[in-house]
Amino acid sequence: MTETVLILENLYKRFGNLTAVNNVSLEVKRGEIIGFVGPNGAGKTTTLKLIAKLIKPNSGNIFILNKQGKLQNLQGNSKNLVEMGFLIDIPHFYNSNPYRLLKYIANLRNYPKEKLKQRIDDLLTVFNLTKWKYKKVKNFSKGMIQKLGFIVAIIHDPEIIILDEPQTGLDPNARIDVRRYIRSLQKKGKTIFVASHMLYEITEVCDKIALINQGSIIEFDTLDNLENLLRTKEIICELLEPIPIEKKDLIITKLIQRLKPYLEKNLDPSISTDPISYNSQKKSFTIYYNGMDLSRTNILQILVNDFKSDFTIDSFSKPRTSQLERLYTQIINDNAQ
Amino acid sequence: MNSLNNFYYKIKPVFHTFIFEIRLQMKKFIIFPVATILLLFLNSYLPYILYTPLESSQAYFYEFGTIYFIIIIVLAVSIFFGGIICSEFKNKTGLEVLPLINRYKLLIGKYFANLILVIGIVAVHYLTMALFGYNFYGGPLLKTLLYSFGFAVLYVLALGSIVTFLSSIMPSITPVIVIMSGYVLILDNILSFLILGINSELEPLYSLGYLFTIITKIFFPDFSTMERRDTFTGGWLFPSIEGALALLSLYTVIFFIFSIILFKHREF
Repeated sequence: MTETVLILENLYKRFGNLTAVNNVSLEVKRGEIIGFVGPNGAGKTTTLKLIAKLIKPNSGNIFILNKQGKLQNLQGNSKNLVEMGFLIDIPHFYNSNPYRLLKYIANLRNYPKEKLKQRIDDLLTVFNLTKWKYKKVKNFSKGMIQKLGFIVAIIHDPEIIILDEPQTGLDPNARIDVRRYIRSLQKKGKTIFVASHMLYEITEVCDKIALINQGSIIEFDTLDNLENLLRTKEIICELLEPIPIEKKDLIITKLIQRLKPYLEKNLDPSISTDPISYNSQKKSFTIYYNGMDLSRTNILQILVNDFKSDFTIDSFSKPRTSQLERLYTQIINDNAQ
Repeated sequence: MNSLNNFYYKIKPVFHTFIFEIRLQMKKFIIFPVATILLLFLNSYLPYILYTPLESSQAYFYEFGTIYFIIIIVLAVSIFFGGIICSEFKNKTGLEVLPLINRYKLLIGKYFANLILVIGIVAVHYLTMALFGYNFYGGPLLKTLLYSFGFAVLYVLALGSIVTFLSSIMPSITPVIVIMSGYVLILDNILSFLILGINSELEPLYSLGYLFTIITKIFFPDFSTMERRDTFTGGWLFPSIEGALALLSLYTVIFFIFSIILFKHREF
């Protein structure tokens, strides 16, 4: 059985009349990557700050695995807890250089002295900051600051890593680097929290997603399970070649006829008015189906067998990001009503 | 051995913070001794070379060289200690370090680093003054220089704790500097004057300006027998050694404890 490394238990945090965190409970296993998704002011950062002990909860408990393999209340003596690393908010640093900063942070957590220099060099290399090693942080761009913030969070090789909007300000290459590094950390058994607005990043790296709104966790599950909550589900079917424009309507009509048993019957008009639509620029069909796995299999078989002469399928997939976007909107809106 | 190891692990973050803070503040540190030496040169060297007759004794020479030093001490302490807590919140640097280090340890590390730097500035002042004194009066130097230095260090400790306390409640370093300088250099005098008007018998040991006078008066070898009240006005001239020791120590301890408590409960 996978070991539990962190438990949030009935957490409440109020700022005056505002309840920023409202009865949040969560259990996280070793090696999981948890995505924290929610609108601005939903309570994501506040929850992370509670875990970081930067603020205290009004009530509730946070239990974290200690070095003896037992869960221990964070509010007590925290010296025996497993190492944690944090990137909270946009990072701000003392006006020093990355080498000194990283050395200081690692020393604070007793990272082995003999490995430290190599560790700093390795991480600076991974994130392309080697030539900035001895340059003052005040001269860094936003993206470089963010990358350094990420390195600070992991420099001492923590077991639990808390990342608040780690992709903010990063260029596409750096995002890929960070994403890749997060996955490599998971392979090493690290447990990671990622709070982000960037749903694509969340879907790419997270095993489980906690949807948070108005201080409460509305849903907490794997993306696949969360997708089951969607009233409407879609499939994107990309074609190798575009279909001739004059044949488009005919093919769509034929498709609707053939796929009728599997299509969504109560399609939300705010999502689409047609169960099947064609995007000529992307050379793809969007098919809104009833969400059953068997239906998906049947749809694929029909497309391959019955439309051989009309088009060739290049890819057939559920768009994870847009699913999450829709799920996010649906749940947040439902919750607001 | 085990308890020694435990102690070492407990003290390590303080030590690393101390070193890191010293390096961070090094630029500021260089400015102050230069300013101190320059001021001493202009105030306690050049005039005597050019036109002013030399003071009658080393003690008077040192007293004159130290009177204005309160301005440097107050400024240095405010600038070095002023951001000790509030900057962690204002600049959000605390978000990086506070999850990793116990707040007490961070505060102690930073406090002692800044203390050492300000004491360094004070030491430069006294060394320069001693050098000039030796140049004018020859040896041996008054050993009361050391007593005065000791009280200057204690004064720095007390001011450091007060400024740290202010830093724990203020949003940024600027109001800390303004309040501290304004209080010690202006308000404190007005307050002492008003209280003196109400009760002239009450020794103004509460006054930071009054406590500073021991640093300038203790140079005199006959300090212990000197009259502590003005024979004409009845006003208090300087505190006793015991009084100054007690009040400066009290300020140091009380304000430091308050700072720790407030820092512990301050949130982002």
